[in-house]
Amino acid sequence: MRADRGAGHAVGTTLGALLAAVPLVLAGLWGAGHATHVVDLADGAAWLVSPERGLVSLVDAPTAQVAVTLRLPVADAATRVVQGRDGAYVVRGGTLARIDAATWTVGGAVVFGDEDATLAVVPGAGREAGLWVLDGRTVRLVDARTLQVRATADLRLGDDVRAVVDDRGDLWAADDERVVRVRHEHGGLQPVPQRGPGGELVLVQGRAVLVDVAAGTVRPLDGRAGVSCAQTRSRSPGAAVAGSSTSPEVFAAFGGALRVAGTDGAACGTVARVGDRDTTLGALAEVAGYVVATDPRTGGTTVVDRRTGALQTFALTFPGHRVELVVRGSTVFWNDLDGHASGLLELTGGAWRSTPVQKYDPATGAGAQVARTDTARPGPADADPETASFRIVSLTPDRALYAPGAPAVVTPEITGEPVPGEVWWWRFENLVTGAFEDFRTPGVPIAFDALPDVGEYATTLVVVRDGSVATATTTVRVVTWCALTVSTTLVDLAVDPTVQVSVDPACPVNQEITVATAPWLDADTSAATVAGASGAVTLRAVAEPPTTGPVAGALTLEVTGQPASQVRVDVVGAAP
Amino acid sequence: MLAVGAVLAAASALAPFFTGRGWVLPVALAGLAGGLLGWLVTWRRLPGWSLAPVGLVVLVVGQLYGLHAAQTRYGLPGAPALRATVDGLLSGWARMLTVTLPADASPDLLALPVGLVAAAAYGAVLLALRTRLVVGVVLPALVVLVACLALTAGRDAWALVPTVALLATALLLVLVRANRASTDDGASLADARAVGVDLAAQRRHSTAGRVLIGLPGAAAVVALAGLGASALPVADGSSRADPRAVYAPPVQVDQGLSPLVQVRPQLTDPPVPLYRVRVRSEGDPAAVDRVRLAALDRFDGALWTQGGRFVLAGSALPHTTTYASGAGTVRADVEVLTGGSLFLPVVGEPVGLTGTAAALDAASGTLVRADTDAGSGATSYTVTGLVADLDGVQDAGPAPGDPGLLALPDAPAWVAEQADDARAAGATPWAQLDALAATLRARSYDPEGLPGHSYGALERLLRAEDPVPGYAEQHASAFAVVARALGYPARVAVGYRLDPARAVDGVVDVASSDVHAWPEVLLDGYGWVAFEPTDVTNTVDAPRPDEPEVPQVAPDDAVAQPTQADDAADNSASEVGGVLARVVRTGVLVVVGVVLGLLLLAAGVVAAKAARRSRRRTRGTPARRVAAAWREACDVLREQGVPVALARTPLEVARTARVGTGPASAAGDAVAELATLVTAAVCGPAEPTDATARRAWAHAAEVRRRAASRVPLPRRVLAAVDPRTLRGPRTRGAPAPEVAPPGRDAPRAEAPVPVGAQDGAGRAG
Repeated sequence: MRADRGAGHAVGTTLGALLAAVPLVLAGLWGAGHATHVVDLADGAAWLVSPERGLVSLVDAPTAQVAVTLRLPVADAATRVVQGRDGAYVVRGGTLARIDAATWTVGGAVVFGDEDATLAVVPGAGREAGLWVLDGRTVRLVDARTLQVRATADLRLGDDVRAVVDDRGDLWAADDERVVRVRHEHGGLQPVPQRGPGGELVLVQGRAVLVDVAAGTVRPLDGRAGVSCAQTRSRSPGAAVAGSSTSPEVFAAFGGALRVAGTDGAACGTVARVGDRDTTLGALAEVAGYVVATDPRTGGTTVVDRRTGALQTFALTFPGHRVELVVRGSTVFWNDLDGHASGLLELTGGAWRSTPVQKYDPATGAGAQVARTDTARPGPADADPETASFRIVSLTPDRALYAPGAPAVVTPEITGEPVPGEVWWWRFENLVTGAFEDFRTPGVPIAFDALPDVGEYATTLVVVRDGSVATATTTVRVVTWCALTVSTTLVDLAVDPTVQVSVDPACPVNQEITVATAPWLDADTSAATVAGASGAVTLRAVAEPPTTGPVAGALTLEVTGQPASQVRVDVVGAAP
Repeated sequence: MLAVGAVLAAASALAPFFTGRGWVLPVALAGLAGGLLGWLVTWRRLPGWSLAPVGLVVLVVGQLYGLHAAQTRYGLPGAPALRATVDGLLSGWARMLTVTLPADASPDLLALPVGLVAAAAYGAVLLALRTRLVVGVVLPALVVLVACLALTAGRDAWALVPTVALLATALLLVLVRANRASTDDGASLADARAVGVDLAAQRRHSTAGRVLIGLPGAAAVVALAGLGASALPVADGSSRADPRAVYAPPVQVDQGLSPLVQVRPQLTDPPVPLYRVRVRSEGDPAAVDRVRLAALDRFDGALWTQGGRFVLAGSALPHTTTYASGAGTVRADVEVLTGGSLFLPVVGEPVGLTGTAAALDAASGTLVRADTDAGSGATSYTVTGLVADLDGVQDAGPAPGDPGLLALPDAPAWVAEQADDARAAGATPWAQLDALAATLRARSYDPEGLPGHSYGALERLLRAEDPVPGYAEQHASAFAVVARALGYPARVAVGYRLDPARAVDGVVDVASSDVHAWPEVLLDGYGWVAFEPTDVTNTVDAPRPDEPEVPQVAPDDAVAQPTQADDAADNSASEVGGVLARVVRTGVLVVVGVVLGLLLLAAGVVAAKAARRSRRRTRGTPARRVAAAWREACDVLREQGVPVALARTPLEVARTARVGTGPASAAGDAVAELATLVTAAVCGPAEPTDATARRAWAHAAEVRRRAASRVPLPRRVLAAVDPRTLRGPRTRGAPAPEVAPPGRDAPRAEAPVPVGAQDGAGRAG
């Protein structure tokens, strides 16, 4: 009996001792450790296309500069560029080509559909996730670098297909009638039709949400209840929608107003008025609690503070031009698809700032920092430029700008003494078209009788002397008009109502400037500006300005007859 | 004691986890406290079901006041202290697995070791005192050892000493417990004493003899184990299972622009003050001419990025490189003026950090901010780094390691051509790299050059025909790309130049325009060695040399280079002021902890006495309560220093008190009244009434009041917290049950009651 008590005592004690420690061990399973930091560094650049010029430019945000411009094989107004993780993709017709961000080359176009097909191209979630390419009938997952098809499946949607990839890596595709989720499983694609009608697809905090503007509904596709919102209902076509990455909200722009609908039902209403009631707004994007809305009719772009409803409007493009918005981190790249302008919208010190970046010279059509073509240089192939005992110090044209047909002289300066039999090779490459022509001359400066067309020409001289080679390149431009430069793009009448306008002194043509102002503004011009001259425009308010802040594009200046030369100036009004 | 010793021996395996010895005292105190608690609950004979709750409550209270006392308000636990305690207990494992080693002995990292050791010691003592388990007693210590080995697996430290210490202690413990003389031999101590036999002493001698006989065997086993482990490479700690391999910590993704793409705007934009840096080194501080912000070690052909994972770091930063020619220690006091960058500047290879919270990518030696308000900007810290001595570096080869440091995905043909040119310049890695740097330095420098460092941008810089001048971004990238093509692990570092000409009292103001980028190559025995392929004076407008520059200039030896230092060396090199301050701080904390502990103990004693008094006054029959009132009065008198002999009857005690002095005489009348009552209650034939019991307790209270009135306040306080009366009067006899008056409800004692073993009221100790 006593032994039994002792054994029971021991068991009780053992259990008690264990119970005292076990919770301590188990408790650790519920706790969270210190977060491991992963630094995801980006280059802050975006590939922006100029479809009608057949150019695509890598715009570098930190420097607000074009790092390089690539020529596309075909100039087509329908060309689109989709940003990828390590490059971009050129979509034209039913073809897709990859832009290699490493080597700055455009790969061969791969056919994924008919010539009139509209491809939707969506990068997958993650660096190795591949690229989704789909039209209404077929969805494919292709290798993001080689564009080789990994898997394919039938989709059975209409031609006007929209698609997003959520944070889990699932593709959601929709037309007006249906929604399909596509998963990549076991090496194949598994399309799963979803219940309910189709609509626009957006990502909200990484999750797919279906927006039916006509019905005024917002339906998260992860199973949560949908929301109906009268303020986001519109029967008229052309509404732009965007999802928020930071809050459970969907934004819709139509009828000149920016509206919001919370996917959790919390918010529903009009955020701000960003245009006239009959305006069909263009691209829409959300970044860090701000919504960027474009108005193609005026060329203005408005940034709306979601929390306060405060607006900032910028005159970025020509009226009527299409504008695309590309969000990279906290920077919004804007791109005039029908013109030479592009730029950055960045939040600095609590206010948004626009920095323009010119993709190509509007006067010549030559792209900024065009990558060299891979054609062989002129001259003998076996010559070694590294062993040359002489070099070309400079290659100097007699002018920077030429009028079409004007004579031009390019003078080289070369070290060392000429030797009998040395050969000079000249190449003239049109940087707009890529066409080039070679000349072989004796050792004298070359003179061109006439530079034929408007554009920018790379002039390369290769000198072969005693079997060694020296090379140099310069550029000349042929223009019919010269770009205008203004002293400021924002005039505050209360501070300084004067805008200095100037033209490149080297401009070879005479041109007049047309000045236009908003109705509430009057401009006192110093007269028509001639080549090489500069003038001033003094502004004066003759009526009450429409707003107290900057009025986008209240002053425009352009070379008469050259709409592409137009320069827009924002004006902060003052009482007349 | 042996059980607690075994637990503490096991806990000593935790040494590689922490920096310094700050963890030892808390963990040791926890072990002792756990053991003491085990002994107390055994002594108080608490039931088995209460052991776990008691242990947990004491554990939580101990953590609260032992680790988070600073967060209490006037000694009372507020929400922050409670939250910190609960977080510490809940997240102890996870936090210990998500810091770099060695870590600082901070409360959040001590929570688990302290709790585990306290619980283990508690359990071990309970098993030792309340069971007859022999080997099982060692189990808690083994659990602690396994936990400590797992937690320190990341350091590849050999835990031979703690393991052998545990083995020795455990064997001794097993030896003692296995050879205890049985107390179940059928003879009671009283019976043995009645016939003149000291059975207890015989049992002690028997146990000691057997243990002594077993000691040589245990010593032999310990020696054999120690020698065997030393001689045989079976468990040197290098391949120990690491729970970090299976634990998935929460991941925080910090997005931002690569520091390399931000070089150009900083070069050309108006300068912005960024840092104030004071460099202190064993040599010439001016020789350290730059601080490194980030080391970009991953290249995909378009962008240099940071590939590592950053883990929360303490004051000592882990490092593994062994330097062939040694390394100098450099300290930099850095004041961050703006919070624009995620990265923190370091000097050389960082081995120590104080002043701010940071996370470290140990592979690259890069620090990122980990303070909760990193976006707010200003902070200051001191970083200690090692700068390699480059003596003999000309003969160094590339260090083996991460293949990602050699990756050049889809490299164009010109990369191999450039590598061939560099390879032709010399036979050794140093000669080739040196030539490559010189070639790049000879290229024109243009701070307003085109941005980018992809293959395309580098080709624009390096092409033979119509090259486009670049700046440090392209020069450093080109060097690193070609160095990788040569087969040398290379990366691009971004940081800021320290212009000694701008130093004021040793402090250099660093502006954004001081930004720079340079390549580094991992050389065996020298760590990451910096090269300088950018000549900022060789601008586009500068006169171009007619002849190509001969690549013969070695990179600046002064460029800060990483190496690793021993923690101990780093600690010993600390400033005297810092050591004194730390000693003072630690001393204050220890004193405060001791005082708090004593206060807690005193409060416990007072509470226990109050509970006992309440129990005595309310439980049992009136006769029992009357007797209890007498025991209470006797305890009061003893606390006040009045001797109360056990052999005396209550009436004798009362007489003695009356003729006494001080508190005894003051309480004499009340004692006499109470003595009369208790004598009548114990010896009288009739059961006393409730009123009698209440009267007895009134007298007892009067005894307390009067006795206290003659005693000064300090002594009264000491009497109140005196724990001795809780144990009862000392006796030499065996414990005996209380005796109730005959014929009452209390059962009679089965064992004989020795005369003189009571305090006059029938109660034994």
